[in-house]
Amino acid sequence: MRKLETYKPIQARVTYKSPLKIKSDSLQKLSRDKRAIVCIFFLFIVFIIGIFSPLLAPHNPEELFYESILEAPSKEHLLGTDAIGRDVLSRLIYGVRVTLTVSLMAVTITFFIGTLIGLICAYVGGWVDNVLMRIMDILLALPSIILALAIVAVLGPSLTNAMIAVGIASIPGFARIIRGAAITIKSSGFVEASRSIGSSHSWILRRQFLPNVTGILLVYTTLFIGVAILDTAALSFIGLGAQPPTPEWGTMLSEGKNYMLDAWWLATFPGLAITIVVFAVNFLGDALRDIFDPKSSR
Amino acid sequence: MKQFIVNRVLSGIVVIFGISIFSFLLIHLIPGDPVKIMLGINASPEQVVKLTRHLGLDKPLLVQYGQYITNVIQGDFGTSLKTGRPVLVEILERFPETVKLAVFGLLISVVIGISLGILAARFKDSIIDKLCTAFATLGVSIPSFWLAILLVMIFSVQLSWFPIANGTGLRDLILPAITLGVVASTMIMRLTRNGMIEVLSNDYIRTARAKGLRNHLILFRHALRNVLIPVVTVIGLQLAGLLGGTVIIEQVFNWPGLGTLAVGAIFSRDFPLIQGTILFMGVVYITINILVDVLYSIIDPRVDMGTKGA
Amino acid sequence: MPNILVVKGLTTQFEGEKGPITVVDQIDFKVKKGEVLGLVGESGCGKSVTSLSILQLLDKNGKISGGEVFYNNVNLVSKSEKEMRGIRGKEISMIFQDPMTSLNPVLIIGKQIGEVIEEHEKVSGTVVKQKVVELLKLVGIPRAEEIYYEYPHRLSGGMKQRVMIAMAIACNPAMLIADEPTTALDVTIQAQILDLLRSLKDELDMSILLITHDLGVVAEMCDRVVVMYAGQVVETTDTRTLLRKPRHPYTVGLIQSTPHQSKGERRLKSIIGQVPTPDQFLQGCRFADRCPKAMDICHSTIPPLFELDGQTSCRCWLYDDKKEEVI
Repeated sequence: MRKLETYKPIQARVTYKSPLKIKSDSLQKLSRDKRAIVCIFFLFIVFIIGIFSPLLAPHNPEELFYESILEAPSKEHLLGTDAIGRDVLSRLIYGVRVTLTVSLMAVTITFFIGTLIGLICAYVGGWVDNVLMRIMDILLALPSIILALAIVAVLGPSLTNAMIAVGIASIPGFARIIRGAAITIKSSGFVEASRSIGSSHSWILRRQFLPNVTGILLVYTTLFIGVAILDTAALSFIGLGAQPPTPEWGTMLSEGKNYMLDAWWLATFPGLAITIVVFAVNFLGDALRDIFDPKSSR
Repeated sequence: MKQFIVNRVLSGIVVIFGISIFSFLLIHLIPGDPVKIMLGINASPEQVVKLTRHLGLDKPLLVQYGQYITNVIQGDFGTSLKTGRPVLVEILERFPETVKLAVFGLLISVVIGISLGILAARFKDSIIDKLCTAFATLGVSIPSFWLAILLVMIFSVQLSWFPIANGTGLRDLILPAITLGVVASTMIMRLTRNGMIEVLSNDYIRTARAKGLRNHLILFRHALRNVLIPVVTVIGLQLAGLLGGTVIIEQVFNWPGLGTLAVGAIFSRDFPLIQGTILFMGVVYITINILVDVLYSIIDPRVDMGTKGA
Repeated sequence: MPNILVVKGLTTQFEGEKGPITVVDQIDFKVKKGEVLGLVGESGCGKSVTSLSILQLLDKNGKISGGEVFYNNVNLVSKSEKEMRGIRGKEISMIFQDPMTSLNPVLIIGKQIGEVIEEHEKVSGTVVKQKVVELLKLVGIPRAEEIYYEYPHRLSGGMKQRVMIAMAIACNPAMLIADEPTTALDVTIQAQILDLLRSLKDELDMSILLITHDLGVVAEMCDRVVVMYAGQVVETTDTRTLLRKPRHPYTVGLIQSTPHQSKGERRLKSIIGQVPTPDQFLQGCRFADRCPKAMDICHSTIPPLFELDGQTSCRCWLYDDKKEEVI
């Protein structure tokens, strides 16, 4: 009986240290961060464009306008037409859809497998941690784009495969960050405390680990979305991702590259689109990092 | 010092072994029969059998790996299916071009990164600092291949200052190197800026001011040296990263480096060449990392040569 | 003896979140030529800021907002940054509390001392090196030629402080500001460093402003003492009088909390409470809430510095109307 009583304050501390309070603080900070709000708002609009692209695009992205091939931006075609007479703006708008789907799917792959590996390593420790982290080290020894190339080489060039490759290629980095964060939490005392009062492993994992790494997960997931957009576009650009006639920004750029002598708009707008979206994502990621992971800020 | 280098090299070798397993397994991860995929749909059964034998794919996995690693250690990376030439020869032919690009890119990134970093730190929180920070975020957001295209459109097409993607001379080198340099500079800039701000708040900077030293001496002699120690590490890692970055940039400029080689190999399903390039890049990457670590312990006088303890 | 340094009404402010915070509040004191003046007080009472203000070495958010600092009858406060650079290290030098962090870890010792000479004197490289080695010998560093090429982390704390001293005296300054020069050192080393400072002072004919919280150091080194509390001067007097007949209750408290050999073992008294931070300063006497003798007036009105005799002044209502024998 007595023992139980002495444990009580520890339990109280566990709840006190629980992340709920931290989280509401962070949300408040977030709502006061102007740049974060602007980025979220902008990305929300991009999202909307992606969902409603058929309604917003002036033309069908694959419709050919034979009379206006390689036409400079005009009233009819606001961002011009490409080499076979397709409307660039419409393709760009449909491209939002492709880019968002692909990058979010890729990050989902990274997120689930990366978090799983990271948490397992941190929580189980010992040889499991050692073996898994060695493997991650080995994969990290290659630049992520090379790793993605290798995976595409195995799977064959296609948008889906590029997505999978980019997703997998980011796993080692992601797992490492999650593991680091989780180990800090593990050693911070309250996990030990709840284990000492006999909490089950899965309870600890769900109720102690996950909530506490939420902030870090949020930060790095955001930042990895930027990486995913860039890497899939890169793969598509060199022809190993989306295949024509898919209206994907990287593919559009690689088509545009061939006409940069006489049709500047073809290679300008898709790149601009990628840059702006990734910029917003990264800016948001930085803002989130300042809030959730201030120690590693900048 | 010796002990430290030995340890570092040993752990590097372990990682290289890991990469060799990875590159070896690539061919086995291919969904379906790798040989059929390599040869294409029109391959005759005899051809398939012959190539399977040739690649040793009919043997047990461990035996195959044993054979593979023995060959690799002896410098035999296999034979390109497309050209029939040794993979290592193909790689070594292209490698210098990639190195050229990466090194020039690195030089540019160091110049841009360190000078902007100092500038931002010197005028911390001012508009200059904010512009530099925005530049850094832009640098990690802009697709390198688009930046490359933009540079070509502006400087080659419009202004005709540089030739459009043809040779590999010095004038051809400038635009791709700038592209790589700008993208890689952002990391160096951030690190220099933050390092500088931290170092400038140190006691020994106050000592230097108390000596009556001029500002540029304080900045460059006393502060920058301390900042550069961590920056050097990042510069080293950047060089390795740049080798990866060139893969994409080479496509834009038709640069005959490892990147175009690897991408071409992927298109023609030339797996021995793909495996070889990836293993080779891994080895280069790890070698650079080891060199950087060793360099770090040399330039930081606090890292004790004997024990590597503080 | 003429005054070499006269500080008049010096006030230093730092930018705070809610407007400027006054850390040093209208400080007055004088350093005579060839004298060692002690600046005494607990940590956080503004001693270091005072010393940094004299050489204008404050961080960016700190600023001298009033008063004058006369060095050889020239006001330093009105000097430009460039003119100040000519004074720092050449006319007035400074050594700091923590020699571990005050030396640049990535430059060799010789370079760090030599650059002071290079900055202020037009001499050739070989002469500089020769001078540096002489300086190293002068401050008692063995194997000076070898130490010249060493990095700071290879030296002990005492050695580093000797190097700092060598750096400070490299250009024969007339005035040395030593900010807690022995605090970070082992007790045995402390005595050596103090001995060194004293002998150098005589040898080089320097005046020293010695900042310390250690009355033992004061007793050993100083001719006169300025006691500071919460950014203000509370007592100024000569060392003998200070130790024998402290006036201000704060000084009394300081002395009672210092271990004293000759008086045998007795319990040390500590001053209850802490030095207030600048945003917590009381409306009246800033020491009132810790003072065992506080009166009503102490809580309402700041006492002025009462001039007690030619040598002594004290900021305490106890000495209003020159009532001497209260304590």
